[in-house]
Amino acid sequence: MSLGPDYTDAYEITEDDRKLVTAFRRQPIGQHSPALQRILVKMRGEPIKGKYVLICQEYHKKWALAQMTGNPENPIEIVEERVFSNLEDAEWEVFKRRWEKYTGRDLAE
Amino acid sequence: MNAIIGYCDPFCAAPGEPVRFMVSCDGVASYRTEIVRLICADDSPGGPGYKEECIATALDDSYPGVYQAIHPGSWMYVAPCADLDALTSFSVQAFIWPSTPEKGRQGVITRWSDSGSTGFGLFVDAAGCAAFTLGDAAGNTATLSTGARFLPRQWYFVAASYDADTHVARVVQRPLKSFPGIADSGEASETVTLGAVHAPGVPLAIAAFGGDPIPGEPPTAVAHFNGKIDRPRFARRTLSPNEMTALTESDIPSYLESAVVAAWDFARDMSSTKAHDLSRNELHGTLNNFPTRAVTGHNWTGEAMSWRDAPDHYGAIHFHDDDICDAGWQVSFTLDVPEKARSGIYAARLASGGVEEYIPFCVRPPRGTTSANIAFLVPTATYMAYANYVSWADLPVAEKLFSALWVAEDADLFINEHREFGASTYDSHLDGSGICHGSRLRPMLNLRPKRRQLWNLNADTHITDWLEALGFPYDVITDEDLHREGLDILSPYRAVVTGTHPEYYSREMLDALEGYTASGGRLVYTGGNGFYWRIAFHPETTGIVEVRRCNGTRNWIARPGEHYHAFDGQFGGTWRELGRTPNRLVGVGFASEGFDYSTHYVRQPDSFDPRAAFIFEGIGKNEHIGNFGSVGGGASGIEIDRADQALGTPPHALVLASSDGHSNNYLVVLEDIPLNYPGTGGAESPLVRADLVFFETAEGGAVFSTGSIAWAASLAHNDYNNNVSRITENVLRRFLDDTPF
Amino acid sequence: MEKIDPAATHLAEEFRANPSGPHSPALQRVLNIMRGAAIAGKHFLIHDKERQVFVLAQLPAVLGSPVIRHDDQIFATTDEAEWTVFKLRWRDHTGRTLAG
Repeated sequence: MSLGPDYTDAYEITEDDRKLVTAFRRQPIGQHSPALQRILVKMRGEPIKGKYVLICQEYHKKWALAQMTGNPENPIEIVEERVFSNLEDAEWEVFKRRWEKYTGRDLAE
Repeated sequence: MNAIIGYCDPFCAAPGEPVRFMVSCDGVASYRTEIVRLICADDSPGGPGYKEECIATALDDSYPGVYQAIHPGSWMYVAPCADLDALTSFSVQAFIWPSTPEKGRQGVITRWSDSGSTGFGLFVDAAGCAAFTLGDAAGNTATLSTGARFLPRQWYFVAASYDADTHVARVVQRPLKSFPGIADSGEASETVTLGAVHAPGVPLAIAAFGGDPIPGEPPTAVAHFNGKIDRPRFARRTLSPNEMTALTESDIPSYLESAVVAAWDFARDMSSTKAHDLSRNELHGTLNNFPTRAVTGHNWTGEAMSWRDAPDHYGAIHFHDDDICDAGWQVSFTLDVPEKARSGIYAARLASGGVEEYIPFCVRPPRGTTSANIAFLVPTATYMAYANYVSWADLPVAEKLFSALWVAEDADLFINEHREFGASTYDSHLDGSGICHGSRLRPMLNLRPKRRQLWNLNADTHITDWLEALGFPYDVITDEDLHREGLDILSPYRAVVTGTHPEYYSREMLDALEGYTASGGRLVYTGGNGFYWRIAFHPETTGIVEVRRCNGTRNWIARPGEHYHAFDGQFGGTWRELGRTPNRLVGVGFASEGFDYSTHYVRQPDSFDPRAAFIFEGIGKNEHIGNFGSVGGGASGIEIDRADQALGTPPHALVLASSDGHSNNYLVVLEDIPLNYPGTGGAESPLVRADLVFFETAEGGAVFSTGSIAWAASLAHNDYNNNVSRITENVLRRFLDDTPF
Repeated sequence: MEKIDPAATHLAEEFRANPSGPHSPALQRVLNIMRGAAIAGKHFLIHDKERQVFVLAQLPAVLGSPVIRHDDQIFATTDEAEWTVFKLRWRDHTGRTLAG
């Protein structure tokens, strides 16, 4: 039986939302406008498989980017040796990757 | 202003049977009465057009306008009797939990005559303290107060006594739980100069002061108590503190039997309107106006959550000064339903000058017969649950929920200002506790044709209007008929069609529908939020339902320990939490609600399954279904249901179409959010949707569900030429064909 | 608790153009704040069926008391009424008066 369409795309992120990107870049962690919040909720609501996570490699100093694989034998895979020295940079990197996936366009640094 | 208002009983009758009408008039000397069959009760400009047909009856041309008062407030009544008259010394005691101690004088245990100022009363005084008043035959009175103010919603032991030899009167108040710095414990004692204190011929009252009896009139009361009263006791002498304590036990100690005049055990006969007296005098009480029973007593610990498991933890009754189930009005006229009256939704239309009142009722086919192969199930239990809804005025979040300014009609304003008619099961009593009784034995002022708000009755007539426009004959059956007669009343019908909102279901009703679909029946569920709440019907008085809102998405929350019905002892709340989800019966279950605008459905892959071909005949493959309609401009709206296998949607069910485009004013229902998280609005959550579902059932039966209250309001669009009407017609025509699925 | 930004008059424009929605998230937040006010004094409308107009009204302070009607404030449509109430509430929250 079909359970209906793929509803993970309940809100569609489009180029119109680009104006919100600056606000996120400036303050990835903190209070966001309702419109930005909507984008983040959608991104954060993705299924587990393929979802980005961070692995803390050194307390307060070093985080690596990783992805959940959905494979119980190898549940997390580190991504391309991307490491960050602060969480804001990590959030920005993940945001950019997700943005590119939804809109097909990348965000300039 | 309503100058003519009324109700009827029964709500549904067969030809040849009587329907009694109880009417009250204010400023109207007489009124004309007509009986009309309602085809479309919606008179809005965007609707199908108001349609009623007058039928000939044997009623008089006019009836005199008589004013009838309504007397809200629950209380216990014991008739005047010799046992009480013979008393000289006496004492009374109880546990009480006053919910509004500050509201003014409230009787607890009284036998008082206002006119003669004679008798006694243990009561909450105007200062919110326990007080005791006495009066002798000459009208001399004395009143003592503990002077200690009750805290609201806390348990207290209160007692009063009078010694006829020493003339000492005493009143005492003790909290069962003390808080440092709060002075709510007290007593007073006084020698009073009075003659004999008793009031012969005056009834005893609990939770009120009884009014002086008027011959030929039912008993009335004033100064109603708000809150719980537990283990009231009446003794024929003063008692020592040890004796008072002993008398607080659930049974009367044998050494006190001769001292006890009455000891009411409110945990007995829980489903009745009787209050059982444990003493040998059998001064059983009558509970008037349906106070709430099956409520936790002073000693409830939570070890038992059902009153049946530990009745002695449930010895309390919650009385309310605004309880009303039966207005008790005199019959103004009786209609004998004409023999030739076609089954349908009807109303008595009463008119005088510019004043008009409609009292709806239903006519079923002659008993034991059918006059059509479609049964339209009119959801009268739901009508009763919503009767006199006033949440728009009381609920702080109402406007957020409606996502617009509420538009009140005259009836709404009247209901707001006249709480004596009883509000709905969506509302709370004025003391803050949820109203758990819905009744049709009083004017249901928001259940009227020509109401601007398209909801329940007039929304359901969008379906009768459509059935008539398309030439489908139908019989009307109501929820009470279904409850009483079960599967037998459904099985003669080839197809059963629900109303827009069949929300309240008894176990018997649900069993009947399940039995129907399991034995080859064809069910068309045209609505949303259906089969949601469990109800019980009162076992003695027809026309009253009980609901306990202990889970689900709801306007008030049942207190811990008060989740079981008084009426039938069963666990209340939603059918989902009882393991009988609506998904199992109709393939879909309550998903969301919203009141800003409605939207369309989008075809899903299952709609191209050959099993569903008959449903989509004449529908384009990319066609949006129902992007029109007089409720919010779309067929998916108001309250919507979705399919979910995890919740019991049959594994072979086809999800034919799903709604798309609800706003964030639609939120995921609470029962789907065990843990709350951001993004549960319709613009962001996949759970906010209506699903159109079809599946086959045993013995050649089938079910088709729209999962949306707004669906029916789209049927008449463009003079019934639209895809909502087409799909519904495709379904119904196939369902009427005997060929098994 | 969120406040309404008096500089965000574009949200008022958005509401005026389309009172029944769908609304942008920022406007929805403003509406939720406005609609979340306490019962006493809350605006609503009364439908006058005879004259086919909507009359502005307010809820009373005490439950079950008569409502307060403003018979001098009548509207032909609910949209017009919604805009008037929006402006009243905007002023209550921000101290500023919206044009129009």
